[in-house]
Amino acid sequence: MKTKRNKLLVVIDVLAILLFATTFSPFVMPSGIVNPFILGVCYTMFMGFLVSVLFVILAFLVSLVNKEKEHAD
Amino acid sequence: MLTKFIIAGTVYLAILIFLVRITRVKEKTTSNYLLGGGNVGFVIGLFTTAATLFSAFTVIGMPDFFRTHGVGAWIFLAVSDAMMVYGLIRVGELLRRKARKLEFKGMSGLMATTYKTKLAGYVAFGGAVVFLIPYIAVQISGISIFLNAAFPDAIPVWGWSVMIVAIMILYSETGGLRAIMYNDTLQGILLFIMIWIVGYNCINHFGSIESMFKKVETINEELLSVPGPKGLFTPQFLLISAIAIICLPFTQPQISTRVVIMKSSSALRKMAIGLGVVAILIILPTLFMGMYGAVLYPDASTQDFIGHVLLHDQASSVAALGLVGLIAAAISTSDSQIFALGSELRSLLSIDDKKAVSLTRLFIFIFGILALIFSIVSTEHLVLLARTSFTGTAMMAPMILVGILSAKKLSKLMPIATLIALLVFILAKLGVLPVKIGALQIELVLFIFLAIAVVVETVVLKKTDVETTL
Repeated sequence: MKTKRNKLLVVIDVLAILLFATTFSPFVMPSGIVNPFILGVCYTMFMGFLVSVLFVILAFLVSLVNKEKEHAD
Repeated sequence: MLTKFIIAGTVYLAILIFLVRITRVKEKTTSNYLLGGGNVGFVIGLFTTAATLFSAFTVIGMPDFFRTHGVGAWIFLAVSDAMMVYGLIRVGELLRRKARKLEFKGMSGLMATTYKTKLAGYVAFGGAVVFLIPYIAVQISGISIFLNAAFPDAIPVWGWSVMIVAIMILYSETGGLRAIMYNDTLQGILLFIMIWIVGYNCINHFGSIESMFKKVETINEELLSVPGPKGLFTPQFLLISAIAIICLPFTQPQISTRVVIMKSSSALRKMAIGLGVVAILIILPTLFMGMYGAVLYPDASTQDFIGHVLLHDQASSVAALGLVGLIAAAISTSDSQIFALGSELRSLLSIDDKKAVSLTRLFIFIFGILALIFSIVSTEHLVLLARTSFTGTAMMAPMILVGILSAKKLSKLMPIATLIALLVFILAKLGVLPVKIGALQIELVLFIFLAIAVVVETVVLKKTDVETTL
């Protein structure tokens, strides 16, 4: 059970690191490029918003998995 | 509008006084006065942390950042805050565990105990003082200048500053951390309502978000991409900012104290997720305000633009609420920072608790006065000084994280490396040392230097296994 939880944590951490790296790449913020507009929002803003929401979702997932028995309480 | 502001201000003050009365601590100890008795639930924890995090720089600085530098400001703050939430959940629990084990009184004391040298404590305390006092000061001065511009015939700028600092010191001295947290909750709610009313009105001006972006495109297309019209938001700038903001829960004592005193791990997790959602919801309306300014007031000064978007272009009742919200935003961050500096000092004292608390209260007063003096003389740009504060304190992150995560005896390497990094950073900011080495900004060079120090400390110096339980 603990091994499965640890594996899940590693998967989420890897996803978070990949998302972190992608944030500072031209995929999320291409220099000087406004188009395409997605749902009426310019590209960089849309991608930035998406990344912030994805990080909160990843944080939520990690909070579900990371319920350690030896917590501080 | 002055009448409505006085009414709103009086109601706000009355609620503050009521909260101070119900949270008043008679017998002041480290536990009940400086740590609020611990046991903080999810809701209070969320609002106090959010109000502490989102200061005047969010209300004044961020709309101006969006207006001047464009949508990259979202990545600068909102994305970095969301990343911070992830880091908070991953490392926060370990901090709490270590804090319980070592009888946490403040991060400086925790570092001194963990590294078994006072140097680590002094470095953490010194870094906090050097980078927090100017940040507190610039917030107070920013709001005071703005209030003076709104009511030029009322009282001078320094008069507003004295009033704000007096309110902060008064309720901090009376009720301690618990009073601050309850007031933060009130201020957080007020800030949230105010910023959304103004943001909604800005969107309303364009009709929809789509037409807002289309209009901005016709005015200045560069605002809709990075690095923005002035070339500020380079990947390197945004990366350094992100690292600095991710480290905030561990490097800024007012936030780390809140992490430690949460009632339970479950409350901490809920608070962290809530913080991520609140960050997005608070920064979003500042985007609308910024885009509104980019179209209507592209060449106005910051003060003029904020004056229009918060006051003159709003109904008088909204403007009065906006002003009170601004004061609340400045106070809720500054009081927590001044109080945290006091707690940090306390954590380094090994004297009788009663004497230590009395001394701490005296220093909270002194820190308040220092911030007031700085606020009267400071002229720095709000957001960029906030970023310098975040980045400066982020230099302490590797030392703090190694201290929290490592279970083995540590050498003095990290405190010494951190001290060097802090000195180099300050000298670079003062113009004595270069701000760039090759293509890399000095902050990035120092982060790399500290990362190497971490590797040396945890891998080279420690032949035995280092228990890092992430």
